[in-house]
Amino acid sequence: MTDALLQVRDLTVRFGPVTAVDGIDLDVDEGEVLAVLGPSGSGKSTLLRAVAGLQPLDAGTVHLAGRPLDGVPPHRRQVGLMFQDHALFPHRDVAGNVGFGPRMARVPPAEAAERVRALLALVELEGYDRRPIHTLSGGEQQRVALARALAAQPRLLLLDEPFGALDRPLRERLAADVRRIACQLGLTVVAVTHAHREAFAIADRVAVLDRGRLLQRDTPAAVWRRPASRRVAEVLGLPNVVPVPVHGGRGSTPWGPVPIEAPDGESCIHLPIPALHLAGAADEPAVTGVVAGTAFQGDRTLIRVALADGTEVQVAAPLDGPVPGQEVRVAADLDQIVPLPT
Amino acid sequence: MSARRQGGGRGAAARAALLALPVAFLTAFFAWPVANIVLEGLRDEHGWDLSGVGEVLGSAGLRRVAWFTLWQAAASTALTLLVALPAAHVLARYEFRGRRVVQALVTVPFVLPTVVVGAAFLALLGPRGPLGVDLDDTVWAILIAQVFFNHAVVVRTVGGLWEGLDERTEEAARVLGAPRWRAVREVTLPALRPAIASAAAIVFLFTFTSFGVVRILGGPRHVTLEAEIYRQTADLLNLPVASVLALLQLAAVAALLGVQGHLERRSQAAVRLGPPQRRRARTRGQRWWVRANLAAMGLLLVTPLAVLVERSLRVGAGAGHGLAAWRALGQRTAGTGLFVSPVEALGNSLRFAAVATVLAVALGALAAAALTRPGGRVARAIDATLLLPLGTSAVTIGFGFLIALDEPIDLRASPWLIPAAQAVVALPFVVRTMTPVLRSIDPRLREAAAVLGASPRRAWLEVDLPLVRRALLVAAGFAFAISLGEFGATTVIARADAPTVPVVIDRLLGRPGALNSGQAFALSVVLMVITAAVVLLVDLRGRRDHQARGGWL
Repeated sequence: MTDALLQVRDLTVRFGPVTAVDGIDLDVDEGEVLAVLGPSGSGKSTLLRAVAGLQPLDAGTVHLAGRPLDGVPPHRRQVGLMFQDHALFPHRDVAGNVGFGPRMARVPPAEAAERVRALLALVELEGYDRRPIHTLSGGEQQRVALARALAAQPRLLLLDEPFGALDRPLRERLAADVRRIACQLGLTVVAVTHAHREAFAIADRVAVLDRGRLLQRDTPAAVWRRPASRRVAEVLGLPNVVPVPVHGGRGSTPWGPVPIEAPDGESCIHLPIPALHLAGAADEPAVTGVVAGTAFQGDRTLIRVALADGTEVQVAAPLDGPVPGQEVRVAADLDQIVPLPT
Repeated sequence: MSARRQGGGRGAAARAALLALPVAFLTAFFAWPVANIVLEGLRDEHGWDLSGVGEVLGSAGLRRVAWFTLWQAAASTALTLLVALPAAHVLARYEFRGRRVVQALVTVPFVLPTVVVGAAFLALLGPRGPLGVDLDDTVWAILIAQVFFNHAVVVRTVGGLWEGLDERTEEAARVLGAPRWRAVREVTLPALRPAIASAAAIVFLFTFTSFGVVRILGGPRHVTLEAEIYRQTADLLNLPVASVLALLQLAAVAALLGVQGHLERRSQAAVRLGPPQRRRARTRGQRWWVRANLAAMGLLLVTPLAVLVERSLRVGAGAGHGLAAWRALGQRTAGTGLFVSPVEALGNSLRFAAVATVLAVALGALAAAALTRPGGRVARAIDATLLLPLGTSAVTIGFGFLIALDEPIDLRASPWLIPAAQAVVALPFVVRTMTPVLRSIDPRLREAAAVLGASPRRAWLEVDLPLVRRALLVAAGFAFAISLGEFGATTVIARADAPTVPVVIDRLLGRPGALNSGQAFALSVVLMVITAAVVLLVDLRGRRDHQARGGWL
């Protein structure tokens, strides 16, 4: 046994014939922030609910700080959960929501009030104590929900799509806030999300979940640069995942062969955006294609290029780059190509 | 693997525990008395005696009663929809000064005691009425009074859905090329249809079992099943016929409740509601529509009550106005067969209604809590059963009390008898008010409480209870108003030395003399003021952040 704070072994949850979580093993160390990334329906919320004790397991075990949690009801687990749309108590004001956990734990009122004040300061909502919940904006509600979860001083904090309904600038700011607060307090956090930006913004490590199974666990950078499989690349929404014919352990790309550990036949590679560029000098080895479309992205333009063999790739181009219909030459850095044999 | 199944078992056990008291109460004070009186009519000392069936089927008079009951209910329902749907539209879609007060006021007629409604329309449309038309003993008086009485059912049921309908679906239809009337027909009406059908079913139910209104306004020619059951039992002592009629009514009501329950389940699944979307009337046509509807509501809902007040102040034919009738409320009136003064009767009424309210709210809340636990057919069957008292002849319940509650303990002289009967009648209203609110509580709020350290009991206290407090208040208000006005069962079991106000009003209206009718009108005003005050109070308070809609209260 390792000494991870949270140890999940062979966790399985079924809904009738559907297996929502399929034998997951997961360790989270004390002070670690783990993001579970998966498309909707991948079982990530169910995983959280199972750890929180809100969802009975069909098989497997959950240990928190070495203590088995089976049979322990949610209110005795010391696990905090921030719900997807916050589930704030509509009949209590901000302070009433944040102070709920301390009150349940019979913390003396003066101490509880101090804790509420400190947490509202932490989430930058000083003076919001008496505000009714329905007068708060989405972002403010999200901060209240975070403060409420923290006020109960859980050993482990679970976040379920914490920034789901918010618009992007706010989402990114709040993700950074959560990251800051988690580091400040040394919290152990498991956050589930379907958006890789969010996952990367808050997490030390990312676990990719699909159809109830764990596909990859690594740092955000490693997951992004070296997806373990085609499905991981799809879940991450990576561009330029293209098929290649394989013969004798080599995949033939338009730019030359790359090593790939796959049987003869067809396999896949991932060409990260930095691996491709428009060829400059005429003698640079490159492949000719036709621009099929352009997407302006603010600091650059991504162009879609249809290569001679029919594959379409996205290539970064300058802002006043080629226009659709124009012929371009695409060069590749073979070292950056990621083989995706499975 | 068995965790979930065990959970289901726990759920069923918890439901059974919650249901134990309500079911015991309804068995003792509803099923047992009603079964007793019905069986009493269908048996004699030799065994089954089904002569009542033949007598009912063979009697042209009784067939006429059944036919009249049916068509007046259908006509009342159609008229009520015709009058109340435009009102529902105005109250659901438009914002104007005083809207909340109007919305609360509209509810008042529904909780008025039926005898008060009868008295008001007798004053308005009867001989010596201010309009100069005498519709007393005609079907028109009955129909208009039923529209007055049931208006709120349609406005609340349909309006509650209407105000939450997303207007953009209609706008989408317009953008897709549908003219306005077409958009209404293709989009809005289908969305409202379940609520309209549900409201219609309830209005039909109330008018089908109408007693107080018909008794006062119908005269000898217009008799409903309910009134006929009373006549057969109390006046003719013909229990066999009364039993068959009660069974007939029960069967019709059970069928209707089945249809209504089905429609309601569909309506719950069908539409998604948003927050109310109201706007001010902008065009001249819209302003005209709002004003015309408000005027019509005022005319229909206020006039009868105003006339009631006026009549209570009338001293005698052509003798002007005064407080004679009001002063006489403290005195016992000879010849009414009652041994108490109207003021003493008022004391009785308030006491009985208070006890009945406590009973109905406590038992109804338990039942509603049981019904909101997840469950399939069983829950639905219980749900329907809990509504049965609503459609059962209250007169039958009353007579059932008299013959059934002598063993094992003789309760017939007990002061609990009337509150028990009133609680039976009020219970379905409580269940109906509480269930949607309990259902609307987001289960994740309980889960949030749990992960924050609240035990299930604590979570119930901290989350469920505060969220249903307003609904409890509304339920209590309605239960009180209904108990206060209950007439059918009370008139049968009330003892001459302890009558309630509706009973006294009925007796006074049955006596000749201006002072008697003046007192009846004065007492009606008193009841009207009390019930209106109670309902306005709870409605204005209870609506503030009332999340649940779709219920008919």
